[in-house]
Amino acid sequence: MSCDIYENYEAGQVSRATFEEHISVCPECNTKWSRDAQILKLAQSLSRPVNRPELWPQIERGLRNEIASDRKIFKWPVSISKYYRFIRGAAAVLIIAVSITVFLQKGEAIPEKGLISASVLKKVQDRETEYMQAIAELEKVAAHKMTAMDINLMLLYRDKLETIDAQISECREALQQNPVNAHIRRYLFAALRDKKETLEEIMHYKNQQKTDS
Amino acid sequence: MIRPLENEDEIVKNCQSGDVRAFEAIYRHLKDSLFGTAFRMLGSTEDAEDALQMTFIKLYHGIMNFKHGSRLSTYVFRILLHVCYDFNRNNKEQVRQPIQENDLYYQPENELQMQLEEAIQQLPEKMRECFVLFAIEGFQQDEIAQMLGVKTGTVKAHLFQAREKLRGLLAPQ
Repeated sequence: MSCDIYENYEAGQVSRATFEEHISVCPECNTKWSRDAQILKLAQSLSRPVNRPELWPQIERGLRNEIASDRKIFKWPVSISKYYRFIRGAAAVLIIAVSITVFLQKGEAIPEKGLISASVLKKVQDRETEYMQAIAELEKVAAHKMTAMDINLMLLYRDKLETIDAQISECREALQQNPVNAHIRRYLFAALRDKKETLEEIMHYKNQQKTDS
Repeated sequence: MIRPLENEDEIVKNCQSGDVRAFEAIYRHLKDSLFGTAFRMLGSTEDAEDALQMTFIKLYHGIMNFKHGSRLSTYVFRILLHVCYDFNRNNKEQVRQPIQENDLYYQPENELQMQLEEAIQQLPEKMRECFVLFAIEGFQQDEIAQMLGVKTGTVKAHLFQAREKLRGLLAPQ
């Protein structure tokens, strides 16, 4: 019949002192105890498998898909006071405008509400890139023209552009967490269109002045 | 024992808001231990990766029920172990490949380690998880009991039985 003192010790029914005294006289328990200590030491020496650096991006994609498919209500990340600061700075920045028609030129509209599909998302992102490229070209010329403007007018335009840029930045930050949210995409397009139109206005103003003179 | 996450309450709150960066913070903090546990529960790095992905999806869905005051790591591990149970139940018919064939991401350093890895894979599920969490991942018995939702005495019993079985499997021929 095998000795069960070791098992009783592991179950907390025998004190350590009693057990240590026991294994000094019980070869069976002593052998088991020693062998277990060796196995435990060997187990502690085992390394872990390497997890690939690509694993987190994979998990992240899965999470974002779950978040998107849950259609969580978007929480606007900025405080209300900052939101109203954007509207105050530029009358033309009509964030709530529902008359977005950016996609009408290319055929596929951003849906009125909810989420956009992967194929539409690609087209949306391509259009955003086109806008950004146009804006970048206009900025180079507009910056130069603004320096020649009346100071008060220049400050007005600069304030307006800064407000629009802040709106673009906040939309982009929100889209990082929720890339398929149609509402945020519309706000972003409204801002991009406003910026492009403002820059064109700056260039036109300068040209008008030349014409008048 | 895994040290607690810094700003754990804030991370939980951000997870509940759907902030993916908060989930990433949890992942970075626990990934090695989670992956190691999943690997030994499932016997494959590929399956362990799938288990981790499922764990974070389930964490996202379950985080609203997380009780502040409990340890987040315990909660995450509990989810992982459930995912591993489900995976093993659904793949009972599949023949588990010996670990040495997963040589892309893991290779035991010597023959003894290889033998122990193979022996661990032969342990029944409950014994294997207790042994892996205690002997390899370094959790305390009461932590393991919380993860498994059992009493500490149950964990001790599983550990004792696991060691008994391993002694037999690793006995000199």
